[in-house]
Amino acid sequence: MTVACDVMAQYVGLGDSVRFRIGYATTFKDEYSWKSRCDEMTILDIGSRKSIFYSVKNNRRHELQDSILRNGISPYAYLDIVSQHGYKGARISYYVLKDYSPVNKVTYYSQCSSMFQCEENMTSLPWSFADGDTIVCGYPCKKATMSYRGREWTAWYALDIPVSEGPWKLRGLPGLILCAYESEGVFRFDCNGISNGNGEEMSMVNVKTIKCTPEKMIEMERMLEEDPDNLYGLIHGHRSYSFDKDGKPMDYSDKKACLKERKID
Amino acid sequence: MSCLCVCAQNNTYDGTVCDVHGQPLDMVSVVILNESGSPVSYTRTDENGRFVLSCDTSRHAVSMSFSFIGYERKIVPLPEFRNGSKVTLAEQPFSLNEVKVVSRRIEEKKDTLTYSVAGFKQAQDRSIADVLSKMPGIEVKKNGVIEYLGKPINKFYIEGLDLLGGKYRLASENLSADKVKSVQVLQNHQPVKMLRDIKFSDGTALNLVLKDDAKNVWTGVAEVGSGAVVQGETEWNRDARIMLMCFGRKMQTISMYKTNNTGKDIAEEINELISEEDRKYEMSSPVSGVGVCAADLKDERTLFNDSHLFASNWLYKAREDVDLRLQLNAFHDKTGQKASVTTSYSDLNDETQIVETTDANMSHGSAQMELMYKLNADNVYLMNKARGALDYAHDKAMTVLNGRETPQNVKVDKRYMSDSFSFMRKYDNKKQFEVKADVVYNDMPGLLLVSDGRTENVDMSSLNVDAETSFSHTLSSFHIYYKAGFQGQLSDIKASLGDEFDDKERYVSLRPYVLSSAMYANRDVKVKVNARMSMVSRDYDGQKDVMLLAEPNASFSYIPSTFWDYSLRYTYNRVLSELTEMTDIPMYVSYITRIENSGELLDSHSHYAILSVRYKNAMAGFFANVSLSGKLSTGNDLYKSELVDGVYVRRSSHHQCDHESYSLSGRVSKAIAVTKANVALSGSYRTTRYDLLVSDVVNACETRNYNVSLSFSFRPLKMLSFEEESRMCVSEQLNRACPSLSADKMTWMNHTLKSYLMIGKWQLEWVNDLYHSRDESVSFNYFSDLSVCYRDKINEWKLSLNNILGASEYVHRKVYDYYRNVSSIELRRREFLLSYSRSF
Repeated sequence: MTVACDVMAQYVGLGDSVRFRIGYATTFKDEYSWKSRCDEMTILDIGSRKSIFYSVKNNRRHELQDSILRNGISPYAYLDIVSQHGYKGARISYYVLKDYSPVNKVTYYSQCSSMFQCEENMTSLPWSFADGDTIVCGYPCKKATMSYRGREWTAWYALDIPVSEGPWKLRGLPGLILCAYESEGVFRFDCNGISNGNGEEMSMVNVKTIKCTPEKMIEMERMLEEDPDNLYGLIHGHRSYSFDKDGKPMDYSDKKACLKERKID
Repeated sequence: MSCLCVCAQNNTYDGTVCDVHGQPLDMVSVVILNESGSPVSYTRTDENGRFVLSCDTSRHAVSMSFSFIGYERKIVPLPEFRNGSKVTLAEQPFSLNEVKVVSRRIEEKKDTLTYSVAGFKQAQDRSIADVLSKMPGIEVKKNGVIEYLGKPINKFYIEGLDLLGGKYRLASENLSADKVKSVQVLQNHQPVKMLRDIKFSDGTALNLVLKDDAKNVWTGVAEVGSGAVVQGETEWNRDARIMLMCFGRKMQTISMYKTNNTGKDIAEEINELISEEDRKYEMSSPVSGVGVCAADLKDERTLFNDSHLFASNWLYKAREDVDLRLQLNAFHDKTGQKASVTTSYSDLNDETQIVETTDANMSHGSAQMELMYKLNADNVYLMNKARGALDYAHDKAMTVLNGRETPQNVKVDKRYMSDSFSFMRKYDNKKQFEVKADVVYNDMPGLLLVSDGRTENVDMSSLNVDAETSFSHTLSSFHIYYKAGFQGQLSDIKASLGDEFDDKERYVSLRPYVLSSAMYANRDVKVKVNARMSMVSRDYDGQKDVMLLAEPNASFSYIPSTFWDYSLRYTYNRVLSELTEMTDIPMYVSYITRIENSGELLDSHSHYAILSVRYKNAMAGFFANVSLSGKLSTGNDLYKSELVDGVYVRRSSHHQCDHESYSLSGRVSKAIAVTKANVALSGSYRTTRYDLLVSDVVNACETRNYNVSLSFSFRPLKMLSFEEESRMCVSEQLNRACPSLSADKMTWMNHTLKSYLMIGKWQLEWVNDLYHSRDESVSFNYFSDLSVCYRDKINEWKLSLNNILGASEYVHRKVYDYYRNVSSIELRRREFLLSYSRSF
């Protein structure tokens, strides 16, 4: 079992304040052999020019880490405390930062052993309006679909919330996306909470990141599930060796990663 | 600037958006809408407030909308819009309609479903069993057994610890729902850690996750109630309980004392509800008690009891993987019953009926102890469980039997002792070695006063020894299992009846066996086949035989997705008869029923198959299951019956017959978040085919039972909620050889509506219970109960008035395989109870 944690994480302000906070229940699989999907609570903080999407559990884990490790407690004791508080099971370790005009960039941060960061220009997403109406969280919603990086997405957005935002990298519709899912039934975002922000500073965990291209990021996320020992080797210069609880070397040959982005268009 | 549209022949629109001061606004949402208000094209303004937007002319665009957070939305009809226009938006404060984050009531993570108690609990729910019955996919049966998708659970944990074993009703009925945060359903649960990637399991366990303030603290409840019967002769009622609990990481305990004479059957709370936890090889007496069962009604309507229950359960975690558990339970009850029963026998070709009017007093009790040590680690499993029980049942009655006063007296005592030992060790490459041993001793002296005044003594005892050793290993994708074992049984029966007989018989069975099993599992499919070969040597009363038996069985399950689950199982067994099924001592089993078996070594063949399909959609809160099963048993003894001086005598005809039974059952349940509603619909059909010997002629018979039930609960308003359950039961018995001996079809229905009104800390509960039938298979009975209670965080005052209309008698007709009866049972009369309870 490989253990890697970023020591002494702090928070950095993003230069915007939270105007709206939207909660989503994110359903996903990391790997195809999972019989059932996982549920995790995620948040989209929307400011005037920026937004950030992250996992509540993962963020709280970093907060605990920040306060505990600052007091000199060992990383192993920290892991025990995290486990006791129920944050051990955080699987969504990515952040998505969208920076609108004038920067117009989408930055994706993902913990693949170390924290990686890839940046892309904020191009328009190929949405098509579709027929359909529904109500999500009390807001009437319209439907849109698109084909994006190997997956077919459906989104329901609320015209009454004229914010061109959504969970993960989804954006670019006339209203806030309150529900989105892709056709394979693996990934899904359901809004389950909407609140007005109290003007608090928008921030995210400040860790040392390694910059990479979007193509490289996809490849690393794939390796994280299918070949983590070699991924560790690529990052740290020496490969790791994983063993199961019987002491046998882990066999990843039948693992197939579930990725939200299968390719870069 | 982005533009979202599908363009063929396009109209293009351009303009500028600014505020009232003329300042350009960027990021303004500009949307072209069609007649139904749906977008057909969209863009956003740039940093200069400019926009350019195209739209297909075929899209029936009618208007253009401008919206931006903090500004008033403006809609301009397209015919009025001019290209190059300046659109002005006025400031307007914007605030989202907030939606509180509500976590899903049911969350699914791999094999674990987590039900949020807060999502299903209604204000009237007290115990966790009340909430479990509202969770879709979970059903709490009348006897307390908890089923998930039609299958009983195999473990009941509280905070991951197995405190109660099979006696989980102590927790489900007494643990307050306010202390439980969530209920986890652990599918494919393998309780033995070291078997978790070796031996797949299709069992399901339940785990209660407690709230933080219920953990690591001593809590309890003390309750006392007093009342009276206010119809006819006044009698004093009482109901009291004191309970102490502690749920910590290293120690758990539930201890309680309960007493009541209000009809609630508290003895059931210490019954074993998990088949693997049942008392192994427990003997049951062939002699039946005096009472008449009215299973259709709630116990509180028919039991005239005086019960005391003491239960103390302790679990201590000596180390991470080591559990030490002690269970002490004791129960004593005196119950009275007045009933009239008219019985006619389907295998007698005459109209004779047995009419009994009985005034009975039944005294039952039990004292049980269990001490268990368990080491459940990743590579080793060690368990030893020692159990002991002393049960007694003393029934006395005065019966008017066909007009003649006849006393009844039945005494059956039981002493039970057992020790189970199990050791397993896992080695490299999933190799596993196992040793198990069980020793069980039963002793059951009994006494029965028969109708002619003589006393029959029936003393039975048995000693069972089981020992086995096994080894398993992995071969490619298969897991192969080899077992060798031995089962030995020694049973004695001694019966005497005045001068008529004084006999004793012994039965000895020795059974060495070998078993081989192969299991294959991948992501979707699990297959298991095994076959047991045994050499059985039996000695019964001087008769000996030796048989070589082969008993195969197979199971297959296919789980293609998180939603569907298909399974098929087939089992063949050679069922060796017990001593009580073979003995030809002509014993009385009740004061007017006598059975004389063949006196020969018997065995039967049993084939059983079951196909089940289960569907679950946790996100939608929808669960369904259906199962189809069939059982064929051949080589069963056929009995010839006659009435001799008012005594029903069944004698073995020394011929065999087959029994077949088939059943189809299903259940569908759905949770609806709005109004916290839950709906469940279930149905079952069961047919049993067998032979009866009537006047020395074999008659093929069939008994059919159909049941349909619908239950729902919902809360239309915060202060008002309802629970309703309706069921319909149909039974019929057909005699194909002699249709005139068939019993008429009987249909009866029951509806129960519970209404709750909650105003502040006050709660009013009104229960309406109706039984009716078109063909008089049950009497028309309407019960109405009312209670009002005041409850705060720690105190509760409650006044209840039961059977307000004073219904006094319940009549029902029942059909069994070889007899049918009409029973009239006296009901508990109108009564009230005032109780006070305090939590600490």
